[in-house]
Amino acid sequence: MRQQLGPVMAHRAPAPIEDVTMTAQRYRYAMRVFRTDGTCVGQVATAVDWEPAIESAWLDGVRRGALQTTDGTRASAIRPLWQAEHGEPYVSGFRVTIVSDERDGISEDFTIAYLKPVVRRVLADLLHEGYLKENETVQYQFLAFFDEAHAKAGPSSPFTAREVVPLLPIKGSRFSDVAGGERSGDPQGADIPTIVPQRILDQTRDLARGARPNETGGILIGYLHRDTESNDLFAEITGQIPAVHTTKDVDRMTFTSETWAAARAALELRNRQEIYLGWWHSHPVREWCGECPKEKKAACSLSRGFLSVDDRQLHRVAFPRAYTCALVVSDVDDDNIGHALFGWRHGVLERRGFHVSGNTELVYVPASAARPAENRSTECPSEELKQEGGNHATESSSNDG
Amino acid sequence: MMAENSNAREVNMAQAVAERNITVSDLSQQKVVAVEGVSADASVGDVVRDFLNELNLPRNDAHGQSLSYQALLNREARHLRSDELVGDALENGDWLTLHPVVDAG
Repeated sequence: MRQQLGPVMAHRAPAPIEDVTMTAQRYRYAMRVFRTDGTCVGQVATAVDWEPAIESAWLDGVRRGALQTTDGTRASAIRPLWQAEHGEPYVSGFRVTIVSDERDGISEDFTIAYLKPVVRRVLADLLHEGYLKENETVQYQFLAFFDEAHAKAGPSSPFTAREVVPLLPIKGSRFSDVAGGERSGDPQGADIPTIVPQRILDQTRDLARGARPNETGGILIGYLHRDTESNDLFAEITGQIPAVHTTKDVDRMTFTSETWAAARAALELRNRQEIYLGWWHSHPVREWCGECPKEKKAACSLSRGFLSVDDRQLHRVAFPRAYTCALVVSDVDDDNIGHALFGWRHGVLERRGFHVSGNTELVYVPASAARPAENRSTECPSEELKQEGGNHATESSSNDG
Repeated sequence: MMAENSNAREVNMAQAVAERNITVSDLSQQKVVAVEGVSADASVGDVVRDFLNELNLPRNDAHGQSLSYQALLNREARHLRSDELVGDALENGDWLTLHPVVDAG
C-alpha cells in the first residue's frame, strides 16, 4: 500500500488553462504523515476523487451565469495551489477551472479540507498496517508532483468516448411563488436554496415509522428553478419515490439495480419532467439505542441526524451532481422523529438548512437546528461506529506551514 | 487494385460489425457519454468497468470493497448479465444506464 514517490524534482509549472481540452489531471498527489515529535511516518501516494469538486465548480458557474447548463464538465482542469511559505510541491489547496465555449468559464478554489476523506483513509491504512498506534496524534501535509508521462499519455481506454451534455431543465420562477414565502436564512450562502414540502416530511416520517425496526428510504424528485428576482438557482422537491426491491435491516439498507430501474419507471410514469434531486432514508435510532435513557438519546448526535460513511458513499455514487441532497429521518421515539438535510458544499457533504413549504408560512430550518452539541460526551460506542464506520482511531491535524 | 479496395472495404465492414457505438449514462441520466468502438467480443462486465472511468463513478464502497454495477439496456428495459457479449446484447445506438448496488447505513 505504501509507495515512496520519487525525489522532489520532476515537476513543472502548473498547466496553463489554455491547454484544457478534457478533465486534465497532470499531477500526482501524496500525503506525508508526521508524528508530533516531527519524525516522518511515511509518504503515501493518494488517489483523489475530483468529481465532487468539478461538480461544485460547474454548479457555481451555472448559478453565476459564467457557464451554461449545456457546458460540460470534461473541459476542466485541476491544478494544485502551493503553500505561500514553502511553495511547490507543498499543497495548500487546488483550483478547478471549467471553460465555456460562449461564456467566461469559472475557477473555484478548494482548501485541503476537501481531502479529509483521503486523510481518513490513509490514517486508517497506516493504523491497520501498524505504522501508527491507536489514538496517536499526527500531522500531515499534502504534496503534488507534476507527472509528465501521465500528462502526455492521459487515460487509456479501449474505445473513444465523448461527453454528451443532456438537457438540464431549469424553470424560470419567483422563489416566493414556489415556496409560498420569502427566502430567508442560509447563513452559509453557498448552498443552493432547497424547498421541502411539509407533506414530504410527513410522508417520510410515516414511512420510517411503518418500517420499524428496519431502515427505509426513497428517491427525492423535483425541479430546479432560476429565481426571476435574484437570478440564483433553487431546488424544489415535489415528491418522493419509495425505494422498492431493497434489502433492509435495522442498520442497513441496500439499493439494488432494480431499485433504480423502478424509480426511473415511476418518474417517467409521472411524466412531469422532474429530475432526481436526491434521496432520503431513515435511521431507526430507537432500535440502535434502546437501552439509552430518553434524555441522553435526545442529546445524542445519532438522534440529530448524520450521514454515515456508507451514506456518504451512496450519495457520491448515486447523486454526484452538486444540487442534490440527502434527507435523513431520525426515528428516536414516538414523539421524536426529526429530519436533517445534507448536501454538497464546495464538494463536501455537509449538513445544511432548508425551507419547509405547505404550512401557513414558509419555515426555514437552519443547519444549526440539528447540529450536535459542541461539548457532548462521546462515551457511546454506537455514535462512533455509526458515524465513522469504526474506521478512525487516529486523530490528525494538518500543518499549514 | 480493385481487389485491394474490395478487401479494404471488407475489413472496414468487418470492423464496423465487430464494434458498437452506444450511449452510456449514470442513473440520474445527467452524466452521459457517447462511446464509439466498443468491441463486440467484449463482455458486458468488462466494458461496464471501463464505462465507470468515463463517467467518473467510484469503483469501491466506503470500506474499499468493489461496488457492483449493472447495465440497464433501455431498449429492452432489462439489466444485462455481466457475461453477455456486447455483440450479442447491443445494437448501435443503444443506451445503457449504469445502476449501482449500494448500501445506506
